[in-house]
Amino acid sequence: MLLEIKGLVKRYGDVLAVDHANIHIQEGEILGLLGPNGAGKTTLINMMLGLTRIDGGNINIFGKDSIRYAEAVKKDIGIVPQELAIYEDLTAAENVLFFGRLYGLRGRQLHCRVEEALSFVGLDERSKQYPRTFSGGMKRRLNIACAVVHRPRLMIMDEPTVGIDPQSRNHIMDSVKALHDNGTTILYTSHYMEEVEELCTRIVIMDKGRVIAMGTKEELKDLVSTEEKMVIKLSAANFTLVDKIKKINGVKECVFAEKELTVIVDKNSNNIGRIIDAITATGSEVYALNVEKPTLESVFLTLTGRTLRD
Amino acid sequence: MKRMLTIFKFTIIKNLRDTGSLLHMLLMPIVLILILGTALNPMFQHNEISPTVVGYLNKDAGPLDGYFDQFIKSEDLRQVLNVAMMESNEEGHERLQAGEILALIYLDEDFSRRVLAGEKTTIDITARPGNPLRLSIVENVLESFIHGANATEALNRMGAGGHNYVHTVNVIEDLPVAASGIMPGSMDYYAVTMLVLFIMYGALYSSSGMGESYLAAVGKRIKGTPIKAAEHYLGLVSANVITVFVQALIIFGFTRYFYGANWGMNLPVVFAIIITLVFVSVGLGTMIVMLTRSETLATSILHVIIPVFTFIAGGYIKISFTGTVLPALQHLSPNYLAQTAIFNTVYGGPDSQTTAMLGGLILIAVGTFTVSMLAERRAWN
Repeated sequence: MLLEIKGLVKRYGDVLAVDHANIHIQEGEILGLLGPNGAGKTTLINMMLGLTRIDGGNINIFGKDSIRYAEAVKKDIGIVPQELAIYEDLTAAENVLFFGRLYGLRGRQLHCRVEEALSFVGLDERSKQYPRTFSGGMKRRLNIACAVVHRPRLMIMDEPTVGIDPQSRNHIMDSVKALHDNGTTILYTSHYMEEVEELCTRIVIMDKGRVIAMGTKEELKDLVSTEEKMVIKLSAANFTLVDKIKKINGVKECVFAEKELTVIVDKNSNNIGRIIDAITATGSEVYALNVEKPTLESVFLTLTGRTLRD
Repeated sequence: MKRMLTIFKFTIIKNLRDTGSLLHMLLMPIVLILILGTALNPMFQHNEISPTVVGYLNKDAGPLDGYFDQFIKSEDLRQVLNVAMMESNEEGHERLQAGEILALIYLDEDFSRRVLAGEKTTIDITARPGNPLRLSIVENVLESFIHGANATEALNRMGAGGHNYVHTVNVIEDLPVAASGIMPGSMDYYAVTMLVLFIMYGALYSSSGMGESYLAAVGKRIKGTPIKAAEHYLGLVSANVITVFVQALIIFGFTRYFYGANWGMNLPVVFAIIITLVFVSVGLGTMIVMLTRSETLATSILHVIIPVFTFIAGGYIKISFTGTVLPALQHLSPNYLAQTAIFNTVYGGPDSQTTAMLGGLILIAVGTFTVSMLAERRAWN
């Protein structure tokens, strides 16, 4: 286990910002941390880094207590904060160099890693320029370069793509994938469901300081849905076909309108083949078939009663 | 330690690249000293006072008449008194009326006898009205003789005989050797007060430096690295102290060598006061930003309190407060403490006062750093 959070509590007066949270991350995973503003995500990250006092529970990182062995633990963690955390009056290379030194790198190794980090985020051509001349996306990439310079085992990325153009966003997404391919374990928080869905192997949903669900995308979707909806475009249909399909095991509803057949089936009923057979047996042609599954957004809505950006 | 040096080095680099602040901190005092020092020069002019002409008539023929003669005609007193011998009381009064002398000093026939008999006696002064300053010089000179004579007489009565009181102007000779000049000119005055003012503005370096590199996003990121809190804090504080101190030395050098301002000869003490004030300034900026947790708010507060400190210390224009509240308030201003300590050092004021002022500055510096650490501790919780 690379990271294990047990019964973590943080109080601000009477408010429980983090309420007995239990989370774990296996080595090599990308864990998505989802939750609306005020869910407790950043507080949780701050406690992992020792920036906020822990009121209860404990955090073990790399098998060590994160408070007692803070220095040793932090050496192998990279952080990409939500806000830009770079100096505007140091060049891109100096920014990376500065953080590299703080992580204990020195001499030739440091300089090689600085080049490597800048190249990793596509800023090697601009290493001598000041961030004030950069676009928002380039600054975000420099923000990442400062976090990867020491090749951390665990990377914490707190909303790394907020407010940037699609091109830079794609670049950052590719960087995250490349880091993962290199064996880095990643804790990734985001408001963007599609990012989490695309990147993360497991997802934790937090709300009002509590972990309300944790699992793979499929496991989370299973939590909230027992049905699947199929929409099939046909050349023709009649009432006999609709009755035939309704009689197939696992089919709950079947409606034909505007050359589209909408079929609601029990999840995991695996009856799609029999439905297609029934259609072709009537001489009708299937032009298109779409199986609509619940999205993470709908999972989140069901679990918390609100959308992620509320 | 290496991480602290990294923080120190990059903070210095950042401070040096902040050319706007750098120019403001260096050019503004240099220009202000020139403007204020030139424009307000007449307020600091001291006219030379020529010796005051007094008439002197000594009718005492006793054993003590020689002592007073020796005193009044001494070389030291010639700088302040021009003594004209009178033949008679009438001549003295005539010349007094004619305005030839300012005062007539008169010892009667029984002066020695009464002193030796332990009776009360007087030295009479008859003065022309209308010149209180010169008259006060005459009075002070005679008082100094009387005090000295009384002390000698007391010693003799106590049995430590053999003392003959001759002159008492050794107060002037007791001035410390480090003292240079008697009073500051306008350039000297503003060289000190403007230097003090701009050292205090160094608090802005620490409020913005601490705001960015300790409290804001970059600061949090640094705290997320394996650096110890003390290394982080001390790296920033020491870089800001060095930045402000070097700027202070540049202003000091410029005023000394280009404006010819008088900084005295006791430079180690002057530098000790300057470095202590730098710590006060950096501590103050750090404390306010740690308490407010906002660089913007801290900067606004500093922009208000530093001019107030400067004003009540007489940094812009010399002021003297009466009563008890305002003079006491002055002692809360680091500018006042530093200015007084520097002026004392340069112009030979009492060492005890310099020490007290320096002690006050050290207390303020320690206080500000302690409060800022407590504020950070509280915020962490």
